[in-house]
Amino acid sequence: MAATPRARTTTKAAPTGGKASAKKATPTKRGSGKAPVDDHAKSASGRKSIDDTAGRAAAAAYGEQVSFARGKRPSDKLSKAELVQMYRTMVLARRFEELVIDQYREGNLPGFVHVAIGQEAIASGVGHALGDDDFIGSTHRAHAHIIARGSNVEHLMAEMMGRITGVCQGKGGSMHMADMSRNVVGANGVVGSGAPMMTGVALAQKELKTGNVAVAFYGDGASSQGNVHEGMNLAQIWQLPILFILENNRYAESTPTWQTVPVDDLTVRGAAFGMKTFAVDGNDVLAVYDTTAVAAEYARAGNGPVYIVAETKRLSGHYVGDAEVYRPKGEAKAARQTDPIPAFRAQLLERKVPERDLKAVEAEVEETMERAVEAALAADFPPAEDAMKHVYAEYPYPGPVLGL
Amino acid sequence: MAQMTYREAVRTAMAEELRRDGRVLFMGEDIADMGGSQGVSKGMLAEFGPERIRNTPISEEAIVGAAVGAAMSGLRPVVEIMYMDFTSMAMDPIVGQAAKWRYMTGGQVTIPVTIRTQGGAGWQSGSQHASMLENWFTHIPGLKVVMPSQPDDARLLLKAAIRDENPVLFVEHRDCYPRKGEVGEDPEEVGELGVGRVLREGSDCTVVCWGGMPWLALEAAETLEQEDGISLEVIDPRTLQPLDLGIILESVRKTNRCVVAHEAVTFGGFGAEVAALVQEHAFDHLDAPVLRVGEKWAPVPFAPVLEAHVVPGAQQIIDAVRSVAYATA
Repeated sequence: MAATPRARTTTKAAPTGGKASAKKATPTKRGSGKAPVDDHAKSASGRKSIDDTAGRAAAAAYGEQVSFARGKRPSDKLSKAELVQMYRTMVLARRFEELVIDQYREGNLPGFVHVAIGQEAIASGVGHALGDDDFIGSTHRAHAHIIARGSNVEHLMAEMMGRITGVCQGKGGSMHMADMSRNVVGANGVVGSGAPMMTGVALAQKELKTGNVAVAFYGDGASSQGNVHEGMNLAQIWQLPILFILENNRYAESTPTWQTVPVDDLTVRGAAFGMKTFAVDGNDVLAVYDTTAVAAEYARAGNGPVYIVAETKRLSGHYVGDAEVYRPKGEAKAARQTDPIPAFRAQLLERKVPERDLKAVEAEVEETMERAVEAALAADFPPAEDAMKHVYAEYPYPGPVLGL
Repeated sequence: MAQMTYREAVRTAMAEELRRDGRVLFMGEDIADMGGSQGVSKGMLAEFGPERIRNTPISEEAIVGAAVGAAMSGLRPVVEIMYMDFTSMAMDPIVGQAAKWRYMTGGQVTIPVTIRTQGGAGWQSGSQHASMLENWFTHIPGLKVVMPSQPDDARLLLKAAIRDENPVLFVEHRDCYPRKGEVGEDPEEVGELGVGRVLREGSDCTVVCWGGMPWLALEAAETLEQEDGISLEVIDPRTLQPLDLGIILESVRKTNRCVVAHEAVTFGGFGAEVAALVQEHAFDHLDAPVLRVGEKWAPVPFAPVLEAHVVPGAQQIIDAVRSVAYATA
């Protein structure tokens, strides 16, 4: 299987697994002009950082963007109502996380929290391109992914606050939120561990012939973890229906990707496994939708896994309260210029979606989230003895440990 | 009943469960054509095919991680980790994921995955292929740890592990593989996790032991009977998590003396937990301190003379029993 690497295939002509022209992995082209490097991003070591505003350019330079004949994009078939729903998902995820920050600062949210503000286009594009029965596994930065699968934000917010009405009854919190009613296997507090786990979920889909695909989200930081490489390797050997979606926000916590990844172009890592690989501008929700739709169809048809590198930007710190001392001056401000939400809003207006529809959605989201926060704040904390439930499938546990 | 080795009993258990339940599959390194590094799965590929007997890359983290994902979405995987030392390569999926996923999700999923592994010293396989590390896992809420010594128990408890809704670590001691015993043949028969077994009845001292040690304890019992007139009761808890504390306490209340013997390093081992439980619950019945037998504080060495110095044998059990019986040979 895969004796001949099907590396870095382009899909310009036939997006669904058609014979793609094998293009040799392009070596790093830093400073080649295709991915302009900002002067401000010079590091102490003298090595210039990967340009932080060049997601699109980097993808064009190194990756394969799924492209289509005019009028043939999967997203062309989306109705206005569906487009508005994609917009709603992004706005809902954004508002959810803004309120999470507020509530955290007010002391209503224990622990610590990672938000994905600025990365909502990936969540929404992927979420809407998947079928209802497909599975996702996420990361420590999971809220948007989960919201995009249609989970109830009231239960999610309650979970964030450790309440009994939380989706995990207060046992998971932000970093371990799961919602099996929406096939959300869960966020994951261990960087990269979702990759082998979702490989297993994909194995079950294949063995049980469900026709569903699994998605493993992870970040550029996780892309250096062994678990991701091992998961991708196994998935490719077994030709499992899984999408590995790398959200490249260019920071592993505080450390810029160029310090931890020896290649500029993360798509080249797909070549190591002979895996079908796409690059996409992760701030373009429709491009994410199209790429995911093509990838999911490919995987669903039994052609094996797909690796997608989505370039994006984190508009917030690694965690709420992060002073971001490691970020070059001006970078965060520049990143805000590429905020996917206003960009998509403008795109919708261009497509003649009435502004009143967008305003109605924005108002409804505001109200929904207000209600969610209120309900979460009003909900009870779990009884302390609940801490001993769900350790095992049996309760009470038959061993002596609980009796002591 | 049929006479079979422990190795055959393990294979029989897996085969019976694969036949019984289409959701069971078996994956690991070299398990298919080769039949596993210890020959446990010999012949299984021919019966069940490569979809259900899945050879994997040398990739413990992915093997267990994928098994955990598969377990929470409808399959019941059995995984083989070739040597117990290599569980260190899969600690995150075992400890960080499998053990906690049901808990963290508030009971939304179950993780019916069985992780089989084997180990044990005495084969001059050196420090990285001989460790017994059961206490790493008995310490993790959410995991069950099964470690039977007898062929019939291996069959019945592995079947129980595969049918269990929790992640179960099933540990086989390498010394046990060629041991023979009477094993039942009814495929519906299944054991119960958390129930210990009296392997030998006695009146003077209790030895609690598991893995490969019960075989040595039974040898020690013969010697002590003949040379010292000491009657040894040998208890194999079979499952360490959950532990059948009742069977241990009942025995200690009868014999008033207790030795805990395992092959793993003594210090900080599971024997310490058993000793603590015994003194806590049966202090007034004890005529002597609870002693532990286990490996000395060193990695398992290679050269036979060094290995024998570190790893406990029947003699160490005999010495410990004589000590608590205040007897000298």
